[in-house]
Amino acid sequence: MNLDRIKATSRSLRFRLMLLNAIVVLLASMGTLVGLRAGMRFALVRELDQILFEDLDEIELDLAAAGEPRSTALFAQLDRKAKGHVQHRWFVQIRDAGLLSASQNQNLAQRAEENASLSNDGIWQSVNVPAELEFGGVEANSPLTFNGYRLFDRIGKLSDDASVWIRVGASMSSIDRDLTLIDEIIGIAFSLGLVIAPLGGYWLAGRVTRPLATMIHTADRLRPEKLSERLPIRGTGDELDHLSHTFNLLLDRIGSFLQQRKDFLANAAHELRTPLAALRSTAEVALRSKRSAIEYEELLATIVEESEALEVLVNQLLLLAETEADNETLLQKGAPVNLAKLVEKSFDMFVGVAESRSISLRYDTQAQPTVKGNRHHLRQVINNLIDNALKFTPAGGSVLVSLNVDLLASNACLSVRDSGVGIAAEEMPRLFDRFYRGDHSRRRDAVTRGTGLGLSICQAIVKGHGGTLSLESEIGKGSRFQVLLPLYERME
Amino acid sequence: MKILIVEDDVVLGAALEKGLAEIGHDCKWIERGEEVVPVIASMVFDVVILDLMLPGVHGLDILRKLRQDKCGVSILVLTALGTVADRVEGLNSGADDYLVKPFAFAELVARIVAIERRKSKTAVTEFQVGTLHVELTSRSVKRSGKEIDLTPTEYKLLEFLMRNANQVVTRRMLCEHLWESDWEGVTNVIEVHINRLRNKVNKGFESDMIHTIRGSGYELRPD
Repeated sequence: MNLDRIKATSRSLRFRLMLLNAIVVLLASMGTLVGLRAGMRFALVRELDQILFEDLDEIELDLAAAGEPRSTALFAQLDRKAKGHVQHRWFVQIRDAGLLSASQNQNLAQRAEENASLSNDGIWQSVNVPAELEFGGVEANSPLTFNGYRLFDRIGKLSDDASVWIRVGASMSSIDRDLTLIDEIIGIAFSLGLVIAPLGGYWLAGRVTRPLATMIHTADRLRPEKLSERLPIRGTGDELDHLSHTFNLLLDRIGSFLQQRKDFLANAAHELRTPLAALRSTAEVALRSKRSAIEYEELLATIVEESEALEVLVNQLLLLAETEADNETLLQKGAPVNLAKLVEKSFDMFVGVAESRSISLRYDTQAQPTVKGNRHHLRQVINNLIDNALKFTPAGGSVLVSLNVDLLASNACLSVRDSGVGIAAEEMPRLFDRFYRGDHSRRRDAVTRGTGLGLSICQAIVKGHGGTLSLESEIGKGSRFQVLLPLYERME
Repeated sequence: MKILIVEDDVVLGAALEKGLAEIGHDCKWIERGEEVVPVIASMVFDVVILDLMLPGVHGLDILRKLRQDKCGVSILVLTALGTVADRVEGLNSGADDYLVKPFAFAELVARIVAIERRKSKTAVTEFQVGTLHVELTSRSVKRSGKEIDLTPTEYKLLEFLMRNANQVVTRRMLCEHLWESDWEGVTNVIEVHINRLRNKVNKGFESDMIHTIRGSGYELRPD
């Protein structure tokens, strides 16, 4: 339980942001401090080198000026210098014709104590130097570091063309002391960073994730039956505001979708009741009194007709649900369909009806477009459009079915134009609504009564095929329904 | 014909048993899926009418089991599962035919007959119903020896009626046969063609051979 909470916390965005922030800040500051320390050390050593180099120049000049034999004053002067720089353990060594003299502070040589007969009374004396520091006869203007000492060697030219070996050195311990101090400061700074970076990170991450927490909280409260709540927009215009806005739009869409569903269900129940009521009443009337066989037959036939109407309605509702449920898979499963063949079959199917109503039904095609889809569904679209056109065209009128290819847009274009009653502009948008019937088709008789689903189904099927269904109409002049479907080549 | 009805809906099962018995079939009706295999093993049937959503065993499983056992009985699936995928699955599982509920009783009868006819596989070249004669190869239609001139649609319509003579043929069956579409609109696209055919066939004769069965469809009977 507790472990689960820890796990959940460690997986939270806030925790991870905090951790990342701390790591980044600490790494960056550590890099900076280490660089600073190295730079500092470099500068200090350089400064020491500079001093030693100048000392070397000075001593060389002094030696040259003093000439032979060297006065005690010169050595006393060098000794004073050594005393003055005792905290730096400054020293000088001079080897001249096999004799090595050295100033005080000559701890370098003390380290090789067994080789030296050395006393610290400040008198220059002969010493042995460690083998690795033995003067090699080569001038080395670059310093060398030995046992914590910085050394400069030079072969000094004297006035009489004799040469002398001079070595000036100082302990680097003062530099080390400075660096230790710097290290301490770095340590403190780093420890402070170690505390501040996660805290700061936690605070920053909190600022970022707080709106997210609000979102989660709000989303958690939402229920399909109660989608009224919306996320607050803070007005900062940042990504989180954008996310809130997107989320709210999604909620709007889901809300209107659910409302549509609700309306549809209510409508469907209502529409199912009507034929059901007719069915029931007819049966009840039949049973109420004794009747002749002919009368019974008549009533039973009515019952069969009413059930057929109910069947049509249920099938259309299912078709609508099927086409709307999963458009993408419907299209993916689609096979090539020769639209011209489908239109021909539909045309042949309705030509008899048209003739019987004295309507001239004509078919005009110059193309054989192939589209991708479900032939059964597409056939329903063609049937519905032709049937509608015939239904709303008076005797003597005409219906023209035409099929073309728009090569530019790579569309198959099916249009059904009638010279019928036309559709009022205010009626047009509602025409594709489910269960919507124009006033003239509201009459409830078995011949012209439709389910009011035909155009909704057409719309759903055409949309499902990636196409569009559009309508132009003028009262008294007629209507033209146009279906645009992407050609098979385009869909592959 | 011996028919086994497997249907768990009591009203529908009883209606099917009664309806099929009345037109002379020998019917047995069972309600549970697990009874099917033993019943078929003990009795010989010509056709099984099989519901899919059965209590106990699913109809498709029964279908596959029967086909696995090399049982050659004709099976007509009768179900409320009507999407294209359902039909394909049913037929692929070994069904001879697939009819979706709700259906017209006449269509069920016609399909049972059609299944049996397919089985006998005797090629028919001509039909004679009463005084009406149709020759399939030459497409000639004669009534009492008098030639009748028909359009291709009318001929197809008549041939279908002849094939299913003495049985009700529903409008939907005709629609599917003529135009490969189960037109569900309310417009009766068949009626005009039936009327024309009727006029041509009856011209000069007293009796009408094509009967309209209200609420169901049409039936061709000998005069």
